[in-house]
Amino acid sequence: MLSDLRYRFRALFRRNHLNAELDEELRDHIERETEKYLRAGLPVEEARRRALIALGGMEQARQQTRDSRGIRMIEQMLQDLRYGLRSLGKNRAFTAVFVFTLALGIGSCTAIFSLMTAVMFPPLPYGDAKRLVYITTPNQNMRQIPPEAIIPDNADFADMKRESHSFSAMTQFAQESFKLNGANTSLNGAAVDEDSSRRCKSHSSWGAESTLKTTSRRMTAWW
Amino acid sequence: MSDTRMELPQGTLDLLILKAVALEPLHGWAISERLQQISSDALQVQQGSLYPALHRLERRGWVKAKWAISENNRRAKYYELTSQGRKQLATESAAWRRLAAVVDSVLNMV
Repeated sequence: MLSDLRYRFRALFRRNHLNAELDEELRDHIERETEKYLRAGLPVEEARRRALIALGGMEQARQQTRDSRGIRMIEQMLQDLRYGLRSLGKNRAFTAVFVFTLALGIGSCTAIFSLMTAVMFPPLPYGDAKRLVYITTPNQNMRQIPPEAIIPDNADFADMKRESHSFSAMTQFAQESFKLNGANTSLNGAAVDEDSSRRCKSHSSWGAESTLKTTSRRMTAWW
Repeated sequence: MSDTRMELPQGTLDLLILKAVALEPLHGWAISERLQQISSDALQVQQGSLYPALHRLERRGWVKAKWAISENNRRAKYYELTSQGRKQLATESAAWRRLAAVVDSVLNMV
């Protein structure tokens, strides 16, 4: 395996050296074969002709042996690459148009994407998102609901918020739908506790805000 | 004459080359001569496929080649069996004998 790789590398980077070696090897073969026929009493020309026939032609043998080095694909690719570069070098005008088009395409794509990222996907207004954690209370008895969907009970949350010192602030939200003043359409929103608006650096894009009185405590709804 | 000579089945040339260089390092031409001699000229070894096979075997690490001065004072490329090649020769010989035995037993079926 390793010798295979080493051989192919040598075949690739010392190609001329290997080709010269192969030529010498095949020449040596032809000479010995010719001498064999000479010893049998054939004239020089005929002996040489037979030797070449036995080998199946010098060029064919050369080509087949080169193919057996296992780098033909890479060699052809390099050839194509060289050919491509040479063609580009010859057609200066075409090359200029080609490079300009490519530059324009890449440049405009990059510009549009930078703009889109900056304008259309602003980070959510949490401040330092790395310090944000999500509190859940997984419940063994409710296996059919994903554990991260179960948030603390309102009363538990109030206790945690009062007694925990690990977080600089805590806020609660729950997805809910709301009805406004007896209207028939319902709005999707989130019920959040009153700290939410203070925790978020900005929330203008979150929609309208209204305050509801619940039986236990004040909650704010956004939609 | 050509009627009595057998073409080599696919893949057997590698095995025969390994066997030929197992005794002593040989150069390409000597390998083709050796194969013809041993087989009493019954085998038709295409000289043109000898060199691709040799280089393939070298790539696989089964033979290694080095240039040396031959008996008539010329530089020649000698091929020598490696220890890995010796193992390969044993494996392939065993496989060949098994195959030949199986084919033979089928042909002897009455």
